[in-house]
Amino acid sequence: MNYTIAQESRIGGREINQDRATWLATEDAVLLVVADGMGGHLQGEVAAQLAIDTIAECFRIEAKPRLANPTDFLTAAMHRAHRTIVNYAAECQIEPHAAPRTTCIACVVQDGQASWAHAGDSRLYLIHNPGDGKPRVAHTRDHSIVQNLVDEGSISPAEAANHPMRNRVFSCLGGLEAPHIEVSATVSLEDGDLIALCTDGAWWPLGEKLVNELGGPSLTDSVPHLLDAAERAAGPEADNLTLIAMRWEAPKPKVEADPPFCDTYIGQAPISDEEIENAINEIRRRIPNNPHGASS
Amino acid sequence: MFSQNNHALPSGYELGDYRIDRQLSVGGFSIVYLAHDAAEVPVAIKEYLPNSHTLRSEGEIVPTVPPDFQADFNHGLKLFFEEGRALTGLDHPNVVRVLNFFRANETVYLVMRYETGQTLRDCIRKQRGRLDEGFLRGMFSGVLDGLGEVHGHGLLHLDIKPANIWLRTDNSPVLLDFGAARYALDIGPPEPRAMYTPGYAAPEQYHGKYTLGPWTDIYAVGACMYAALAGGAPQAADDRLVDDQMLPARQRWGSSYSPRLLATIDECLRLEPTRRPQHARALQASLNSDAAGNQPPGSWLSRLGLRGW
Repeated sequence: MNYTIAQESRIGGREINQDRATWLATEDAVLLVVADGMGGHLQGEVAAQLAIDTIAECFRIEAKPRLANPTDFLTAAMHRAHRTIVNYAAECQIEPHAAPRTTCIACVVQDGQASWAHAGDSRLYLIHNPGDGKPRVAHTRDHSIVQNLVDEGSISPAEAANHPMRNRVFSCLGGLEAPHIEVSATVSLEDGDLIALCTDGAWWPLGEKLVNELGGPSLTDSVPHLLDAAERAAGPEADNLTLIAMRWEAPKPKVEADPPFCDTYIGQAPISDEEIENAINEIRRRIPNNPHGASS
Repeated sequence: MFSQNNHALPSGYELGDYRIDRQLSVGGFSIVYLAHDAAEVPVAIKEYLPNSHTLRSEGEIVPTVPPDFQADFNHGLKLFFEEGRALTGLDHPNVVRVLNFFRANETVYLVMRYETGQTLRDCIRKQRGRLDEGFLRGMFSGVLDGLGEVHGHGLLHLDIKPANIWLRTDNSPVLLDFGAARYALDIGPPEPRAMYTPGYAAPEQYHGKYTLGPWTDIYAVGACMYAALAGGAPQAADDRLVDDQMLPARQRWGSSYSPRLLATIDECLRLEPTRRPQHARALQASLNSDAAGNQPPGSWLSRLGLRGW
């Protein structure tokens, strides 16, 4: 599998960062998770941490190296994360109304297909760039009160963006009520497709910019640039901001000269003489003003 | 596995265009030499020579790799290439500069610029800690400048310690030894070669509960600053997780250093990654500004969005 992943989390203007993000990969499957611990509840950051830890642990156990069924995995892992947070609150004797809670969005990519599940208003964006400059974009539907108002036609999307209740979600992990966990259909990815998972602290200030500017030449540049822009737009009161993005590369018939950014060396595959020469020449080419020439 | 150490290349040995002068340091995976190029310019050459997978006896040049260890040798070779790739992408006065990379003696060599000076470790040892505040602020500002560049390239150093900070004669620092460096995002699969130095490694380097990130290197920078005052490394993070006996810098040196510097050190050394400064550049800005350091720590803490305790 060839892919590039970039992630960053920032504290914004808050006292602590209650956002959490992680990703894990085996040879055959990739997991991405973002959680936004909820302000106003005690230890939101603990809920977010428990969520990503639990889902990552499920992935470690079940992806050997493939998941039997990504959709079933996502549903079960999200429910397990919810129970872990509820159990934690019970152990700490936290009052139910103040129990730690978190939003959560988790995505699995396997066999060139993506599936995801979410609770709350952290989003997944799927950006397909057909090459004519008009990306096709989809994002998850927020489990929020204002999103429901938009769906009913009571308010416009523009009104929703500035609605005083825009942060209120009706589904999350942790807390008294069983979460509403929405699982996506399975989507086939094409070469260059982008998947972005983010908290509202990132998507809310960015709006269209997120979709238009994520697909630069390098995700490691565009992710921090977008978070810079989001922080600027949100001002000194900025919420925690988290963005993790993945660019999918369709399997290529021929091995590329440059190893992919996220190449990881699992196992101890033999290395040929040619590979050693290629690696050395690549490094020599990268040396600025190399007085020794590119190759020998 | 072989217990004995490998022998270094002899003084005067002609290695490609370079002439070996002497061994500078030896680690588990490599030997670093002082050498001179054809124009007599001194260089540091790092030779890939994993102690546990190669044999080189006295008088030998080409190391022997027993067949059983060829796979391990090759795996380490790939990681050595990673170090080369990481470093050649960086061009910064506070990051060691790569001059050449080549193959010889059935292993590979990384050639780096050599400058006169000493490691921060030696400097701390000579002074027994208690380094001057103005020196520390200026020097660590340079370290963070280099580290910001490293992080800007999506890399984590992951082995920042006084022995890996080189001080030129003008006291400007150079970050050395990217043998543990990884792409920040290259996390997930089990780490094939976990390397960390007790006292400087962040708690998240001991177990996988938290993601590694810039904050991991920032913990190490905090530990280096602490060591520069204490004369030695603070309590190891894994011990601190069990029983934290590290006296906060503010308590230990409250009368000798500015509150701001001490608060900065304590912030960096927080066990919880999200409660440390998250960016090298933000930390650097706080070290650079307000040289008098009389302002209470609250002002910059709130600007960074960090909790003030």
